[in-house]
Amino acid sequence: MAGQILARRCGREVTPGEAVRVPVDVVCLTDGTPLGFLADGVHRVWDPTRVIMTFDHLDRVRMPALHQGKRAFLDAQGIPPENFFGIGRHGISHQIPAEHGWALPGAVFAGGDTQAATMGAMNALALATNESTHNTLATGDVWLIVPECVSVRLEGELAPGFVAKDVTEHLQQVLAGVAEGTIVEFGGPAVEHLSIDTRLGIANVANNIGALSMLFPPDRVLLDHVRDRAKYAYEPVHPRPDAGYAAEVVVDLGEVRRQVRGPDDGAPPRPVEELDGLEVTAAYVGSCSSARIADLELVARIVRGRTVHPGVRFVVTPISSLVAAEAARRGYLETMLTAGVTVTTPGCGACFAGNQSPLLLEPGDRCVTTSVENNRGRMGSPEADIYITDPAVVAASALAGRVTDPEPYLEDRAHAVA
Amino acid sequence: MPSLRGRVWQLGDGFGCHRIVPNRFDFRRTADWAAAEEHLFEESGLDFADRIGAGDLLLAGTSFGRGHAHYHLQAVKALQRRGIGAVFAVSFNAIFQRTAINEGFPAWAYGAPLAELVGAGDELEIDLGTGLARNTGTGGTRQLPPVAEVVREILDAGGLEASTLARLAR
Repeated sequence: MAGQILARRCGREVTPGEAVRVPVDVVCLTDGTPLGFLADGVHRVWDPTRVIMTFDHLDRVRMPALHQGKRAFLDAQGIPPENFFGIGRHGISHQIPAEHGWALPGAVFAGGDTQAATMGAMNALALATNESTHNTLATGDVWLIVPECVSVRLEGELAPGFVAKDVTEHLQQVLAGVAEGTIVEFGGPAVEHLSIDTRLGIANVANNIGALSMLFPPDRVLLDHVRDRAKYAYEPVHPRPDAGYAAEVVVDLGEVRRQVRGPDDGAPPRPVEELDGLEVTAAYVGSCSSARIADLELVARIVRGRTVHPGVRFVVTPISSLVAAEAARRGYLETMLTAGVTVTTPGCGACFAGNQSPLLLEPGDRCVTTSVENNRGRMGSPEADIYITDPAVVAASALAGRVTDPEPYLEDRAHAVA
Repeated sequence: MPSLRGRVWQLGDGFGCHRIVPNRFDFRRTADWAAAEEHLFEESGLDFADRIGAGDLLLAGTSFGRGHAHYHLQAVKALQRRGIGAVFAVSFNAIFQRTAINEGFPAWAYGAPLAELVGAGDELEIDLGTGLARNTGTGGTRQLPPVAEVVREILDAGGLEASTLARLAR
């Protein structure tokens, strides 16, 4: 699929290893994306109608003129006000474009943040442009070494109470040494049973395994999702039966188990039972790899009628304003707040110490989290331990004050959600 | 881009960003690249780390630069400030390689063929435009495919930003 998108955009077939410049359909900035020479008031973005900006990092210490300053830039560049997902419409750049029809099938999507491959869930070729984003804003293209593709066939079914985060932890092991530098193309009978949110959560892991991006096929679920949201014309790209892959991997979703990985990024994943009983002082459900509605549902199910352990501060940061509103409508927010969970404004939250979040880890803290990375200092003090796991383990551990298998908390609540 | 000539160091497989500059530092927030260079290879596990210097060329195995992209830039900046000429790996973390090239630092997947031409301590001369590589000690040569034109254009300009500004001015 990636090869077809590139061929379409370059006007010719492309082969792995060659370098090309690819026109993009949309560029998504965040409040943290440097604007480089575009801040000089002279240079212009290539097409203001194809630029969007989301507020997610919310770092007012580093960027005191956060809202008005970014707004002034967008206005000066002629970027339409509705393309600005500022306070009130804000959320993570790895969710907003899918919710609002800016990441579309067959499109080339450039994102200013590291996890931009997430939009591959939308059948878009999604590329993280990071510090180079202002160049793409100015030229409307991105350079690329055409990668090999790896096929991942998803089979089986996720067990109840499991979410995208469990799949991504599994994929990091299955695809280690297989997908580095490639684009991972998903397929197989399990895809049609995965929600768009689950696909977004899965594609979010590309950067963690060193893949350039990930791509899901455009099935009925996806096309139904984008039909009334699409902000521009799009042409889905379907997998070709004769597509050549550098590797083909089969993943049985039924084999996915809960895992915990910590105290830092040097530690291997372990089954939750192995760490059972380890005391925790902080818990977080948030970041672009979690905190979608299915994740919040799971948290609500577990904490309903229970109380967060007095030795733990448990913070939940919904991924976007729309997800927060949906969580409110379903009663999840009330359930969580009643249990003693602190629910913050949407955004990247505690995932990275530079963001606005009340969780900020202190020396000696031990945190269980659904967020993206657990290198020392990522969430605050380098003397805090960070264990990455799924939202069910985080919620159950926050109640118990220690790492806990959430199954007993889920068993009696298979049908009650809020 | 003129040809590169320098002493070769071998770094092996899976050499991640945190071994270039430890992840407990976050110089991307402060853009203090001089400080990043002070900590270059501090936790690399290499017993020859303090001997890697200006003009040297790094030869690496698979997955060079692996790790979260938040930390790629400080790694590239530290390597550049040390004066290291290039890194040639068997394979790269794709986003790390992009960041390196965007900063004007040559990072190209010549690792496998170069490992057959040069070893640690050898001097390598390589022309990225023609792909001709030479072990100056043995005189042995190897003709590699040249670095892709789009990439050479960026490296010649000194990085993506300079290359973009030149394109916009044309």
